Amino acid sequence: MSWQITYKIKRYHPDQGSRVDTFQVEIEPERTVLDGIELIWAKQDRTLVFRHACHHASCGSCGLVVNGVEVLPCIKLIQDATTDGGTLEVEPLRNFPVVADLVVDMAPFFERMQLIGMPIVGPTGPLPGQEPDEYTAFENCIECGLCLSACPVVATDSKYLGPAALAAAERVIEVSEGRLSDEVLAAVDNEHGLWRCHAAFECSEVCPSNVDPAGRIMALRRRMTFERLRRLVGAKG
Amino acid sequence: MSTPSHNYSAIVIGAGSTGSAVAHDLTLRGFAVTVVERGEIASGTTGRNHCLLHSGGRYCVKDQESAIECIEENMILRKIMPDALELNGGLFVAITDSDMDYKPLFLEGCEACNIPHKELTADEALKLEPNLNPEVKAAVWVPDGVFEPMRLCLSFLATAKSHGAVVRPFTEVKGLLMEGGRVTGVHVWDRIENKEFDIHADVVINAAGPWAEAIAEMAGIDVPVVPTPGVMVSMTGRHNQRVINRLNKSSDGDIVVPQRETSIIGTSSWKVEDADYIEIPEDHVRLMYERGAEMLPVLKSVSPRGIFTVARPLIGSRGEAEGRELSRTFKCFDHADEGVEGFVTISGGKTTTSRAMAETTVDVVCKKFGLEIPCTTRDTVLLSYRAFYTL
Repeated sequence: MSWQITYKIKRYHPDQGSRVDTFQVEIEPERTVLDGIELIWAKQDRTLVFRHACHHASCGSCGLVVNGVEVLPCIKLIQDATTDGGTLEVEPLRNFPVVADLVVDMAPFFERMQLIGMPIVGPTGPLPGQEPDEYTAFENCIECGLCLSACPVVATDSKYLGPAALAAAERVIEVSEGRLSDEVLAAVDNEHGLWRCHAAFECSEVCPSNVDPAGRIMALRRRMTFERLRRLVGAKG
Repeated sequence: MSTPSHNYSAIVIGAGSTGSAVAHDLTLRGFAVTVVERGEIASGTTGRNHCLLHSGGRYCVKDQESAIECIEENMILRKIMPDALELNGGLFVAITDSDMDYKPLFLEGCEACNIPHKELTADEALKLEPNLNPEVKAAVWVPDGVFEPMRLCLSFLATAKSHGAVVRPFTEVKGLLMEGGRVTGVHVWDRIENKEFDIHADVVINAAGPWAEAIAEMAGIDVPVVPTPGVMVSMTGRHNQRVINRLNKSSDGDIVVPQRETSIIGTSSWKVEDADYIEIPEDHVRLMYERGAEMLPVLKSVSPRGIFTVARPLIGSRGEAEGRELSRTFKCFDHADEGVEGFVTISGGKTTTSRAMAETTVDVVCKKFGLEIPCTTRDTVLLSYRAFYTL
């Protein structure tokens, strides 16, 4: 049985500015918020632009703010997002430049991720019967940007490196069992890096992939603090 | 290696795996390339596929041409695409007597198609995959893998961009420009700027997947593409480390692909007319749970994370063979055969074989211009997908 859902979608066009468009959608509760958006595009408004590809939380392209909360609409079922007759307010991610409608510019984000250089694929943990270098797995972070959208510090400090990149730096140290390059260290260990986070934990709340960026930022702080103390003690000794 | 020198230009319609690989190959062979895609990269068939890097095992009994293509390309992609693959192997598992009857045919097929394989006892299989049905009778290991479909496309496109290609997502083809019997470009609608304009080129390549028929119609040509969707169910949690396939002939719900934090059950097969939005048949979804749980009983007790479907662009005649019967190989159409120059369609195939599809297509294109430039994509390691955004 289909539900009647009202989608209120924030629209933006470079020449026309912003507005909110309302669409009535008939959709099964087991389908996703993203399916509803695609249905609007297919049957009601071909001018609507939005990002999507894998529809199962792997590609990280479809992130949106739905009813005020960052989600991947591809894994948000209608029945978990609202009720029959309910409304879904859909906006693009916060803290990213909006290109049009629900499409944001990810380039600045990927520049930071590339600078940190977190591997994209790594060896899996030891699993029964595995040859050591035969099996690989993707890193958990799908680089969707939800954590940056939810972060109150990113909202006020455009130079802040942001939760995804800081979590990536911690991951680089973990997988390489070593240190960060001087360039990455300089980006991480400054007032717009590691020490800018004020531990709101919003990033970990919205992360769809269990990366726990806030936990990793705290771990990185402990690591850096220990490193500073060690240097200090070493200098005195 | 220096870029071959000529001044030909090409437009590729569609930025799924096929169009992306074609764009990459064209740039390596010296073409000035523009890619137009009506939505986001990989937002059609490629994005929503099952993410299976085929070993060829699925086809080695009934469709050996496809199986051989798959294993060859599987081995090539491992070398050129390190950022887009999870190399986790796969098992074909026998649960019933009928599965055991199929096993010798499967092993013969692997031999015939040069698919590396290893027979495992039930105990060995259960040790590797503890969630397998304890009734498992035997298993065969093959080099299946998993890819991230959007990143796969972005890797091809990032590399193409580094060789000068212009990639335009959210740019929809509204018509083909024709002069005499020749396609000379495309009329497009830029959906971001909301403007329409023309782009000219010496050749236009139609890689629009299940929408290839609609594109070809713009030149008055009929391309026999049958949009054939399948249902996939992404479950909460990852319950298998390797791809788990049913050791029997192809059927609905015969595979569970693990990727990241999920196990994806697939798939089914039926035909549709319009591939833009596909209703998901409820009975197909139920069948996925039932059949998936025959191999991994744990799937009965976990909830779905998302259900998705998309149309495969299979080649065939409408109204003839059922979806399962259509070959999974690909076909490149030079429409000069129908009297239209400057226009080529590539369809069918699989994401696993996208590089080979591109090689065949660009061979056809080069021949049209009398160019003899060898394909080098087998040995060209691709850039990271992140480079697509930062270049």
